[in-house]
Amino acid sequence: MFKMIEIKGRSARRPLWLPALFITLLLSAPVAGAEGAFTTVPEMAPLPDVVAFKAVDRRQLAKDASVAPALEAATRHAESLWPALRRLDLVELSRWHIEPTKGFVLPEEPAFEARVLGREDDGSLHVDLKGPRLPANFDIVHRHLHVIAVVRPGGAVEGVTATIRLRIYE
Amino acid sequence: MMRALRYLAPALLLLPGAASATPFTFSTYDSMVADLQALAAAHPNLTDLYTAQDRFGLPTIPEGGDDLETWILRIANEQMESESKAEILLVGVQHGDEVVSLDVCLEIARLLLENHASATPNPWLKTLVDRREIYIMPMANPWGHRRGVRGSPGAEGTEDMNRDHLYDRCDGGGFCGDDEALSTVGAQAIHELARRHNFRVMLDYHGGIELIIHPWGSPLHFSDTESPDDRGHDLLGQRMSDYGGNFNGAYPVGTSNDLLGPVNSPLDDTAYATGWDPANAATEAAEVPGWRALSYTVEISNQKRPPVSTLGGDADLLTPGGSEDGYVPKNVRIGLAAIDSIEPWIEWTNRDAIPTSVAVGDTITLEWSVRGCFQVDETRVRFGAAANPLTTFDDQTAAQQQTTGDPCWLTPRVFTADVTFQNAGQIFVTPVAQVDNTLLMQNSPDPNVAPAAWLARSRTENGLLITNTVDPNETSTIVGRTFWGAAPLEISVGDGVIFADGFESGGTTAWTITVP
Repeated sequence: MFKMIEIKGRSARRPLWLPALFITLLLSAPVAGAEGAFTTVPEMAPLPDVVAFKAVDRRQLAKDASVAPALEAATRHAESLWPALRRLDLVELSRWHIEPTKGFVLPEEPAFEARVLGREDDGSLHVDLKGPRLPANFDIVHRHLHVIAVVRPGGAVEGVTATIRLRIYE
Repeated sequence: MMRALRYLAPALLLLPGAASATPFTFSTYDSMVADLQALAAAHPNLTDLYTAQDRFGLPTIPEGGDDLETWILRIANEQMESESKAEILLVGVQHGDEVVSLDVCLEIARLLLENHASATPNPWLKTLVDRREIYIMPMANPWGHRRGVRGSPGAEGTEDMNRDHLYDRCDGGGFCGDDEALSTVGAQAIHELARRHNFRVMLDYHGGIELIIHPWGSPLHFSDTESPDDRGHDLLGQRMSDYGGNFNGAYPVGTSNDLLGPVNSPLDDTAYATGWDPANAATEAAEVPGWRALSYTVEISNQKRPPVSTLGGDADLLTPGGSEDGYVPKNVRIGLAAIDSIEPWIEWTNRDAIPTSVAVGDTITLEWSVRGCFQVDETRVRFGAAANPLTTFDDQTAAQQQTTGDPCWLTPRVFTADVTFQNAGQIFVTPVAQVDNTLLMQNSPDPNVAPAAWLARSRTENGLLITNTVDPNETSTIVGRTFWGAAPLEISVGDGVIFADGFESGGTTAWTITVP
């Protein structure tokens, strides 16, 4: 398993963390072991291949009977990954507020807030599990660990991605 | 809240040293409308007050039995002719609960208008009104303000207006608060203004933290946060922070991405980049080629509704650390710094001492200042028989410059030149200046393109940059200039002797009268 990193490359100058990240990726071991596998995406980098409906359609989709069991299955799966998720290098995954992130450890017990994002034609559901809040320099900055997953018809959970999403409530 | 007394006694206006010690309080939607209408009524020649609903046909927002509207105040002196006055946009209360921004916007309007009408006006503030078109939208989100909430009604429920603009729409992951661009009435109103105008600077006042932040602030540019106009953004940002002063500490200045982190489709990135990078904006970007403003989100106070005791008063508005300093005076000064900086101009500083008639061989001293800029790359006096010596001149003095310090701002440097006229005749004289080539400095801009903001281009390029005719009653045009001049003085140079009464004696022109 490898880490899937997608970075917008629009600048003539590359930040210093890019080569460091590349070396890290070359040397890194798979993120998860027997519990399962997941990829990581840097904080706020685009999430590839995620099917995300518009808000109004998400709200409608959330009423579908298939959603609740899918959210439950995804949550259970993410909880099973929790030991591996806790071993994530959050600083490496972060692009902002790195200093306060240093030394931060995810809580022992998982806690996710699940919501459905969208649905593929075959009925597969893409779900977002919002995990614990991460440190930031300012109170108005809300950063959370997120786990994105695809729940296939029948309940299999695939395509698990861990990332950090940041929102500012100024 | 502004009090009626202010309108009844504009002569009492609070200029430096004219303390009246009136503390600020929080305005409401109703008091804002009353204040704006009172200002417009008291200053009809300087104002145009309207709502986005009336002017642009946008819907009202029903709330509590009222139909709330988006009010816009335009301040300009139409009696001052200009081929294209520089335009600036000030926005308050995009987030309804960040109420402190409203009173900053209202106070800027009141200060400028009442000063202009004063019998003893502050000349700098008066000049700003005469030379600018200032658009103020003090409450972009009246629904949120009345309810005391952040959001505004949108197409899909309650939306965050400052994620509802055009640039870098959320394109995956469902992590945006709003999926439709311009779904809120306030964002639509700002968009309609942008369709009609070419703002050089946009200030968007907020609350909840204390910072001045500028592009980039969107995830699109998260790996390298330097915009093509980072130099200009930083120069003006630092000037605003400095003039704001140290009340509760000076505001740090930087990019949103550096200081906070990114958000999709904020107003500052939209106002800066939509006009020149429409490929990364919503389809409505085609309607706003003029969105190339240096843009700032000014975060006024750590509390969205700070204690009234911290708002300050109007006794000494223009002085950082003045006797009634607070969040409102601090941010009024920030607004004034932006208004000042959007376009250069040159002022004679010894005009009254310059004779209108001299004799050949006489030497006169000319003094002038260059304003509205950051650096003076070159300035000198040009003169000759042509009526516009800025471009057509017979002679000029040696070039001077000041590219360090702050020669154009607050206490501007006075440049001096001695001129001796060698030939008789009517001579036209003006100081000229080339300014702010520093705005072209770049390190690693993302994307790697030249500075794109009107503020930089209008003082480093020559010729027509844009003409906007969306509003048939008011064409908005930007003409770039690499040399700026003052209104020329006409001096009669005779080859005889000039007496104190203006009569000339002797020489070949015999007796002539020079009109003072």
